Amino acid sequence: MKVLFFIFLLSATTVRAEPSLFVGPLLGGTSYSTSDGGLNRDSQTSFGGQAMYILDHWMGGLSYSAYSVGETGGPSLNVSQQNQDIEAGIKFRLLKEDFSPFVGMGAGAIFQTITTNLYDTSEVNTGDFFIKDVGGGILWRFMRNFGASIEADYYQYSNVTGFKYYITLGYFPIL
Amino acid sequence: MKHVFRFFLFLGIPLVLGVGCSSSFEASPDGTYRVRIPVNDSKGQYHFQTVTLRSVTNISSLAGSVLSIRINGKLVEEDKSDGTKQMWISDFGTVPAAHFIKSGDVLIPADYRTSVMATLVYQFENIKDFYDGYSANEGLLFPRTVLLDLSETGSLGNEAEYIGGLDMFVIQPYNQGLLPMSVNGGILAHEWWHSIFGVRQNESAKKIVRTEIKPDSKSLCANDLQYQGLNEGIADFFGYAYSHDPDYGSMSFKSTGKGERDLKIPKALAYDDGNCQMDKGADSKVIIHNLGASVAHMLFVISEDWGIEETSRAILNFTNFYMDLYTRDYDKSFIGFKKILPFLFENHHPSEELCAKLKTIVTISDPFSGYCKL
Repeated sequence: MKVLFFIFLLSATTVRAEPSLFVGPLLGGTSYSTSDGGLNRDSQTSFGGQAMYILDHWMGGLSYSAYSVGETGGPSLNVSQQNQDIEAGIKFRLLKEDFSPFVGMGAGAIFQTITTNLYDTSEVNTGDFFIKDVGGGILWRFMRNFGASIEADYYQYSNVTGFKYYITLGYFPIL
Repeated sequence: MKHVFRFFLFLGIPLVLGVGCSSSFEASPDGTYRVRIPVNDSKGQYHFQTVTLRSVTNISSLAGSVLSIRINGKLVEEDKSDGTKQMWISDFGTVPAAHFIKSGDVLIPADYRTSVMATLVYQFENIKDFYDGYSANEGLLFPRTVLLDLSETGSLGNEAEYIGGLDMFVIQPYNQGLLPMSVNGGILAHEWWHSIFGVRQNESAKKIVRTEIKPDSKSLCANDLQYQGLNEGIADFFGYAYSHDPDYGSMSFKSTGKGERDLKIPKALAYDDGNCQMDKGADSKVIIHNLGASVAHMLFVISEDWGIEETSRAILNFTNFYMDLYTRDYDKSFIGFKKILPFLFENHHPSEELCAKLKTIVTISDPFSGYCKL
């Protein structure tokens, strides 16, 4: 299934001339479904960076974001969680203009580090999941070398779902 | 062409990483899951241990043949016009969605709630086995249901209880900073006993044809006090028998009185006058738990002589006799301890040494009807 998804991303890509690159740090938030069940969600601040290769209507992007869920529980037993998410995304710009909305999808890996404390004992474990998302946003190249994007994605991994929303202030290097 | 290459290079790296990730939590071929959770050892101390969950059929909700968990329900308490209080569960909550990561073939709870729930399932599986060992689970319906983190209006939380009318366990949100009640095997085994006691009463009620129709309110109240005290005391004992820690309660509760629930601390069993102390405005919960603590200490002393297993069997035998008696007479006349305590020794007579120890605890005159000449 994952391989098919990868092939679909490749086949959906149309590459044209006049490429440009957009790179920059991102800041935003990640909401996630909690183990409380139902639609209960918590949200944490996330940060990271992204780079997008822009060809005609298409953008191929790479993004990294990290967020932490601080200690939950009490002094005797508590658990904290650090998450790092690296994804590739392909996006379609609706306009070939400096200001354009886009839609896209992405997939990659999320790496989780779980720290569990029980009295004076601490254990650290790591795990990873395949993560995929769909979403959209706006890319605005407001200067020759600078621009910004805002984006919101719905994502899923394991039995966790949520939204990522972030703003990137970026640089357009001359290629 | 180089742009095309760069374009796909961007896409490829994370996708390859993602494809290599594990994301499924399939059970072992025998249908079990290995998890790493805080569990008590044979001395009652809690450590991380890798254990096997044997009953889970849905790892996401942790539902299985032994336990079904619902989370974040609501209990409402309202004052009625006649001055009494009325309580009901207004919301049974939702099915949880446990989050794990996988480390090798072991599932690691990814958050506190999941850690608690996985431990709850493990403890319930073992508690079921524990009581199965005494054939005590007869009549219980499975899976048992726990309403975890049930909030209650006007309550500070930090309570675990079995609600007989619903045949459900309720565990309120915990904020005392010690070992959560939902992880404390002794407390869970204690609450499980209440469900056994309730079912046995129902079974007795079916067997006995009642003839008395004029209730004696004084006896009813006194018998109810004794019933609840015995229920608490035996539950305390089985909490110890399961956890191997005679002071398992203190792992989760901040004590309001030195050693109040510690089975090792001597407490005299003196109540046998048939008076209902609740009539005098005393806090019924305190009376019942004090009576229970006395019973629990007496059973603990017996177990030191006989061992836990033999004592547990004697208690279950005693319970059967007591239930029949209680169901028949609870509103007729006071069922004194003198009538029921001898049932403890019916199959196993106490040694003189044990009798001497009991003499310092049980201050009722001749409570064991010839088994011990106190």
